[in-house]
Formats: sequence, structure tokens, C-alpha cells
Amino acid sequence: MNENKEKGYGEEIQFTRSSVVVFFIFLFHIFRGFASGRGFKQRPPGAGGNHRKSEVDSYIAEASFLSKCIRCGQCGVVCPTQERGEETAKAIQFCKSGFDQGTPYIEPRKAACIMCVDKPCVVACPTDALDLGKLDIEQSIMGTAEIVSPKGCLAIQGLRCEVCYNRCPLIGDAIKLEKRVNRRTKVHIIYEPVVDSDVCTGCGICEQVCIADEAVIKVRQYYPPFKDPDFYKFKGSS
Amino acid sequence: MAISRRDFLKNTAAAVALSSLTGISTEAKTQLNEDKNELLKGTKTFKAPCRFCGTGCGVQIHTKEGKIIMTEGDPKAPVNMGLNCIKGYNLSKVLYGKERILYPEIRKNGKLERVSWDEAINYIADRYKKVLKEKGPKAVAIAGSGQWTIPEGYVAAKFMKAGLKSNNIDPNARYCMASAVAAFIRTFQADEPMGSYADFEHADVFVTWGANMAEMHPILFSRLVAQKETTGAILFDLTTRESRTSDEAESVLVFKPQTDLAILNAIANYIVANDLYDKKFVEKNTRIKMAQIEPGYGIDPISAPHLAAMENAQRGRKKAGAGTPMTFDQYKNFLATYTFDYASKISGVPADKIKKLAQAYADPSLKVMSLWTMGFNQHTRGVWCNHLIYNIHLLMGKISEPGNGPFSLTGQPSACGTAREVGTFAHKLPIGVVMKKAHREIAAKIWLGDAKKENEIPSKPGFHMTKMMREFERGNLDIMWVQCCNPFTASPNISRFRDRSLNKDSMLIVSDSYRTASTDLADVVLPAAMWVEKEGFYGNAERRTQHWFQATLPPGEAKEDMWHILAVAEKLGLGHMFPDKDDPQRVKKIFEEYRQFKTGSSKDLAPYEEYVKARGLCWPVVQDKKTGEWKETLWRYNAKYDPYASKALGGKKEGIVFYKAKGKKATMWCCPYEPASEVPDNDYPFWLCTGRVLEHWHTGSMTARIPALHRAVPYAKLEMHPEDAKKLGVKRGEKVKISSRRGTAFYEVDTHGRGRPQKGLVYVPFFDENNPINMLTLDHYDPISKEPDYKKCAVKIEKA
Ligand code: SF4
Ligand code: SF4
Ligand code: SF4
Ligand code: SF4
Repeated sequence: MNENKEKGYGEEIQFTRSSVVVFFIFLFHIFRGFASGRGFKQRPPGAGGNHRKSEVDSYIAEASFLSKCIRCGQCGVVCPTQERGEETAKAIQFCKSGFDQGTPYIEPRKAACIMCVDKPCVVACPTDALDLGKLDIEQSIMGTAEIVSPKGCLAIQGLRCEVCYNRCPLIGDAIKLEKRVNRRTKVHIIYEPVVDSDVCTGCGICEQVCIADEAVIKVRQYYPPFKDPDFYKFKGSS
Repeated sequence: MAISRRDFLKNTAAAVALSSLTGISTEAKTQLNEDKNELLKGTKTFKAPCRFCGTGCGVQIHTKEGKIIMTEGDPKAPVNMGLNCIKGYNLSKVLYGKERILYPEIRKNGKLERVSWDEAINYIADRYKKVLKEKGPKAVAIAGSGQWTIPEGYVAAKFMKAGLKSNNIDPNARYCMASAVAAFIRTFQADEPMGSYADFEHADVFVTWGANMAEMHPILFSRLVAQKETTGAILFDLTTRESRTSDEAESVLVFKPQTDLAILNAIANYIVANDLYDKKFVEKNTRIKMAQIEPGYGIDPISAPHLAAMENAQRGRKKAGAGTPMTFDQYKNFLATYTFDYASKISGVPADKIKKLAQAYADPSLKVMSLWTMGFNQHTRGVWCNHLIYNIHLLMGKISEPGNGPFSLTGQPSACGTAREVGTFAHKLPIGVVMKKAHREIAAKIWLGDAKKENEIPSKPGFHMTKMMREFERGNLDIMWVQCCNPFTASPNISRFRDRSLNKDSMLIVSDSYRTASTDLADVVLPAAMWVEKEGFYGNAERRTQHWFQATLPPGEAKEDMWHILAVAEKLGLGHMFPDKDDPQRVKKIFEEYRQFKTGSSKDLAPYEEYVKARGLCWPVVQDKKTGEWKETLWRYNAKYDPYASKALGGKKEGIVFYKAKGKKATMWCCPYEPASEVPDNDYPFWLCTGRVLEHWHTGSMTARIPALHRAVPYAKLEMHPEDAKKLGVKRGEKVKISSRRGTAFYEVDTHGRGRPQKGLVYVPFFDENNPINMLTLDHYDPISKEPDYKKCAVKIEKA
């Protein structure tokens, strides 16, 4: 599983002159995150540019988004989740305090992004803070889902849940089910939901609908797979 | 055992204490109150079957001070071994949802107003007296349910058939497995599957016919897939819409709606034409009948004027259920038309796929388990579909053996236990049917104390559910009492039934736990205790009868459905027929009375106490003469497992015998392919299919009130093939308007969901009470079983 690879990523990243700036912004986030109990903020689709999934550096994307978002609130106006009766809230909320006050974010357990095909939030954004270029909504990156506490997942315990899988807009692609026979009963199957972070958009629907009292599948920051070490180096650095 | 020894002893002690008392005694009441206080003390664990689907998983219920704090899968339950689906997982919350009905209510000046139980019962009883006097017993009816507990169903049936002398009682199971029942009776002269869930661990091949088991019978499907993983068993899935079940299948046969009939015959044709059938078995155990062709579609000219001519043309025919004996050669000739190419042409399934399936059925070395539910049953030729699958199994002799057999699954927790075994149908009795004198005599003996009083039980079947709704709509029923179901959401073409203009003067009584469309229309609403707020029994799809004790108190003034009926019966002077409504031993007494019907009938039940101990027992449960042990039967008709079969074969310990069937021979019914009643045309170019999702159960009156399940799937979406969506210019997530000749609704489109309909077909689940798809469905039915077809009608779809 690429999960393991990703975990190694943080250690292997090579800090260069320019990325030091980004790093400080990132550090700030971490501290804020500790303070608020959440180290990562899910942004609307296209935040920080129209990167293809395998190319995005989410730290840079976040920094870029923050520098471009003019806090106008237009994306929130058009976000339609409330009208669909499903969610009680709009997927797009706005930060109420802090240095990023007024910027949009998504709290999926309350209302996830339903991945509107027409990308109204992106269209409404007057700058390119939200920008998907020619990319489909399905190629957007708001983060990636992860089973954060497998012990709490009903499906992993052998119960027939798989709600996250059933409701994922990229069912079968972003979440797959891995099968194994239940070792205790020997006559039942366990369907373990496994996220493919290269496909998952981080829309958060799985987090919103997870059947457990506290979601055991959550959207976290997306780290691109460590494919080409040079990609993270700025040109000219040694 | 989940019930502690102490609890059990205490109940036995109560039984002993009460046996010396007569009538309504204050002691009895005190005893009950003490029980109630007892319930509220400390932490306790109880066992019970799940409230939802027909799988019948066992759960453990933990209570603290009388409130359920947790439920979990019961590791000792053979059905599920401690596992549940998410509906079962969330059971503890089903009692505590929003909008529980707490008090009796009567509609006064158009508004439901809270009244006392006394007032409500008197109001109902007075009306009954008046109607019975003026119009007789035909003007009253009860719409019941496969969610009634066995004692509740039994009391309702006895109240109607022996008390009020009316056969107008029918369960919502009519909408669910009436076709299966009719086919069982017509084939084996005995209802219910021969096999059990233990079959799953023996089969080499599984075939799901119109059954999305992955979502509808999640725990059984888990066993099916485990068998595939461990032994390499394979799965064929026959469906009109690819589903989670198809995802696991080695071969998916997506056929055009209604053409399953042709595929089934093509398989039989392959077996017969190539001489692959088990000749000995066929000769010894079967005979053949030709079914009445073109038996009609139960079309009501009011709702389908465009098809009135078609129905009229077919109406003059012989009885829909009639049959003429046929020789094997005639059968062979009949089948000859159904070549793979022919079946392929009408069904759209590639011929070689059908052939592979036929070969699996025909290979004597492979054990095949066929599973089906609503795809077959909710079908205007549902009984025929059931027949045709039995034909295949009978031809091959693949029946009544571990891993080999046709298995009709059920949807409700006690569809088998209450609707079918108790016989809460318009034509049924706890043993046999009302039409037969011998059966009425058995009932009269137990119910009225004298077999000679058989003439007091009407011999003509009453209104079946579909008819009952139509008669109520037209104002021909003065009282309709709905218990444990929600027919004003669940019936097909509901807008016609929700219109109460023609039956303003009729009284609609609804006993329910939550507010539904049915309670909204009611004149009297009675608050019902649900599930473990009362003691009861359910019977699941494998003939397993499961008992549970009351674990907690119902909220407000809610009382069990049985209490509602008993209270009215008392006022009507029928109290002597039943135990007192507050007798703490009532469930036991009623069960023991009911058991008399079954003893010696080959459907034997064990004594009450055995069920208290066991995690359910599959009938016939017969006592071992030597050890005194009560033994369940996992495979009927097989002398190795079924004592009745052994007896029928003169004590032999092996061999298969359909001992209930006439001449001990099962009937193979020869049924042709016939088209559906309403098919897509230029005006209404799409097929509409309806069904369920894993997260919700039926009309959602319970599951939609469990916050976690509601959050999981808050509303119904319309599933559509991406190419159809493209043609219509709609994208995923956008709204469409869907209309049939009967109604219109709006849904959000999903083109990439867990279900993937074939081109030209859309699928909408029916759980969404705020947006019920039954506004559009067709109220045509199978003319034999009277079960409506929810799986196909013609609709048009426009971008909204
Ligand atoms: S894609 Fe739709 S739901 Fe998601 S944030 Fe944008 S507007 Fe809201
Ligand atoms: S966040 Fe969850 S629901 Fe959304 S794409 Fe990823 S796995 Fe699917
Ligand atoms: S919805 Fe939650 S509990 Fe259920 S399978 Fe997914 S992660 Fe596990
Ligand atoms: S709904 Fe059915 S499968 Fe799910 S726990 Fe209940 S009985 Fe078992």
C-alpha cells in the first residue's frame, strides 16, 4: 500500500532556499492546528491552482491559495449543498478568526463537498484562488481520506457497513474494498475500505456519512507520492 | 444464554404464581408492575432477533435501569455469529427516534387530538358494533404485517376469522413474498424453503435471481462471499441493474425486464433437450402441469385506462391458477422453443452466458443454490418465475440437500413466522386454508372449542391487501385497521389511495410507533410498543423461530399491537377467546395455543421454554423420544435430516420425499414467457425499477429516524445509465422530473453510484417518505398471488 510510502515522505523531503518560506507558513499552520485540534484545513476544490493530482504540493498550494483568496465569499454564495436537502449546512464555511479569517474551508462531518460537476465555487471565484483550469471536479484535490482509527471501523470488525464506500462519488476508484475471510467466524467476509489517495479528491463525503459515532474515516492533507525527488527542488538549488 | 438464569426462574415463578389465579386478577397486575420495576433495576442482557430484515440476525441487548444502552451481535446466534449489518448495529436507537407516538389520538374536527386509552378503545368498539350490526363482517378489515410478532399475528387472525367471522385480514407480506408462497403451495403443497442458511457453506455455485443480496441480506451475502473466497465457489448474478452483488459475481447476466421467464425456460430446455436431467428423481418425485396462459395482470381500469382493453380480453379466461396435466414429452416440446438464441434475443443476454449458467445447473457434480427475492416475487408473473426455478432444481434433483436447493429469501423479520406460518392472509388459517372444511375444523376446534363450529369461520377468502386498499379507496370498507405497516407509502400508485374523498365516512385506525403517511391519514392513531418493548417471537427465512423477552418499557402510553386488538375484542364481548391483555403470561399462553395447530403437522414447534433457551429453532422441531431433546430440522424432505421424510420413506435414513405434496410428487409447472403489462413506449420510454438500499429498511419509518442511518443516506436518488443521462443532457447531481401515467416526482440523478442500471432503465429506492417513488409505480399484480409488480413500469424523464 502506498500509505507506507507516503509516511516516509515527510522525512525525505529536501528543504531548499525558497521552500523555507513555505515551510514557515506550514509551521504556522501546524501550530494553529495544534491549537484548534485540527492540523489541516480542507479548502474548496481548486484551491491553490489547477495541479494534477500527482504534481501538487499541498503546502505550496495552501500558501498560494492564501495569497490569492481575497475573502470575497462568492464561493460560499453559490455552494448548493444546503438546497439539496441533504446537508443542513453549506459545504463552504468561512474562517471566523485567525490570520486566514474570511477564507473558505470545509468541515466535512457537517457538510461535505458534493463535487458539483459544474464547479460553481470555482467559476464564482473572481481571482484564481480557486482554479481547476481544464481539470474535472473529479481531479480536484481538497485532501485525501484516510481510515484514522481502524479499530473503530465497523467494516473492519466484520460488520456489513461500507457506507463510506457506497456513498463515495468515486466508488470503487477512490475507495476500494479489500476482502478477507473473518478469522473468528470463518464463514463471513470482511470488507475493509481502503482509500487510493491518488484518486480520492478529499471531498469528505465519506467522513460526513461514516456510521461510527465519531468518523473513523477523515480527510487529511494530501501528500503526493514521492515519485521524482527533483520535482521538489527549486531550479538552481544545489 | 443471554437471559440470566435468574430472570428465567423469575418468569417461571411468575407462571407458577399465576396458574392458581383466574380472570383478571389484581395479583396479575401487581406481578406485571413488579416485572416492570425489575426491568428498571441494574444492568441486564437479553437476546432478541433483529427488528429489520428477514435474515433474522441475533443480537444481545444490554439495558441499564430499563433503558437500552447498547446492542451488539450475538456471538452465539447461528445466523450471524455476532455480526450485524449497520441496521442491526444501530438497533439500540430504533426505539428512541424522533416522533414516537406516545398517546392514543382521535381525529376531531380534522385534527388528531390526544385522548385516553379508554376513550380510544370505546370509540373504536362502538364503531365496530355499529358497522358489524348494519353491514356485517365484510365491512371491516385488518391490514397486518410480517413485522407483527407471531403471537400478535395469531391474535389478529383469530380475532378476525373466529371472532368477527371475517376473512378480511391480509399482511403487507402480500406486497413482498405472496408469489413465493403461491408457488411453494402449488409445487410442494407446503410453504417455505426446504433448506437453511447452512446451505451457504456447502454450495459450489450460487445464482442470485433479481436479488441484490449484498445490500438486502448483508449478513447472508457475507457468508456467500466467504464461501467463494475459501472454496472457490462461483456466483452468477441475474439482474436488470448491476449492483454490489454483481460486483462479486463471476458472471453477470443483465436482462431486459420480464425476460427472466425466457432465460429460466432456456435453462430447462438445455437440460431436457440434452437428456441431462435426473430421470429417476423426476419420475419418482415430480409431475407436470401446464399453467393457464395469459391469466391477466390484475389491472384496475380506474388506474390504467390505457390497458383496460388488454385486461378485458384476458378476464374471461379460466382461473388464473388453473392447470392441466402434461406428459414429459409435451413438456419437452413446449420447452423446445426456448433455445439459447431465442432467450438471448428477447433478454439481451449473450447466448453463451446463458449457456454457461445452464451448464452449471446441469453439472451433476456441482451443488447449486438459487437465491431470489423481490425481482421474482414483485412480478406480474412472479408465481411463474418461482415455478420455473423449482423446475430446474427438480429436473436435476438438486434440492433438499446441503448446498443444493432453491432458496426463497424474505424481506421482513417475520414474513415467514407471522404472515405465512400463522396464516394472517385472507385465505389462510394457522394450518391450511379457509376454503377447506377439514382445515376449518382444526381451527374451529382450537379457536371455538368444537370442530363442528367450522361453519362459523367464513369459507370464502377475504380481501387481499391490494384489493383491501382498492375497496377502502372506494368507500366499501367501513373500518380498516392498519398495524405494523405503512401501506399509504408502501402500496403501488399511492396517490390514488391517499385520496380520502370517497371514504370520508370510513374509519382508518393505525397502530404504529412512528408517524407515517398512514398515521397522517388516520382517524384513530394508537401508540404501539415496538420490538423489545414487548415480548415476542419472529420467524426468519430459514424457518427459524426466535423468542425474546421484554427488555425495556415502551414510552408514553404505548402498548403492544396485540394489546390494542385484545382491548377492542374485550369490549366486543370476545374477551373469553383470549388471555387477558395485561396477563404477564399472555405471550406464552398464546404461543402454546398456536403450537397446537402445528403439532403433528410436519411444521411442529417446540414448547415455549425451548425457545427461551435456544437461539431460535428451525421447524419442524421434533422431540427425540429417547433423549427428550427437541431437535430442529435444517433440511426438509430429506430423510437424513427430517424425521417426517424418514417416516414417509418407512423409516429410511436417506432419500428425498416431498411428503406434503399430492401423491408425494412435486408439481413442475410449465409456464411460458409473457410480456409485462405496461412496457415503455414513445411517451414513456424508460423502465422504472424500485427497491431498497443497505442503510434503510422499507419505507424508512424506523431507519430514517436513526440519525446515523439518515446521515448515511438522507434521501433517494435516481440511478441512471451515464449514456441515457448524456442523451437527456443531465449531469450527475442535477434534478430530473420523472413521471408515469400515475404520478410525477423529482429526483437528483446519480450516474456513478453503487447501482448501475442498464440503458433504458432507471432505479429509485422507496425508503424516502418525503419523496415516495410509489407515486409512480404500477398497481398491477400477479393474477395468482395478487402481488404487485414494483420492478417495472413505464416512465418518462425530463431535465428539471
Ligand atoms: S464543488 Fe459544489 S459542493 Fe463542492 S465546494 Fe464547490 S460549490 Fe460547494
Ligand atoms: S474523500 Fe472520501 S468520499 Fe470523497 S473521494 Fe475521497 S474517499 Fe471518496
Ligand atoms: S462508514 Fe465508517 S465505519 Fe463504515 S466502513 Fe466506512 S469507515 Fe468504516
Ligand atoms: S437488518 Fe438483516 S442483516 Fe442487518 S442485522 Fe438485521 S437481520 Fe441482520
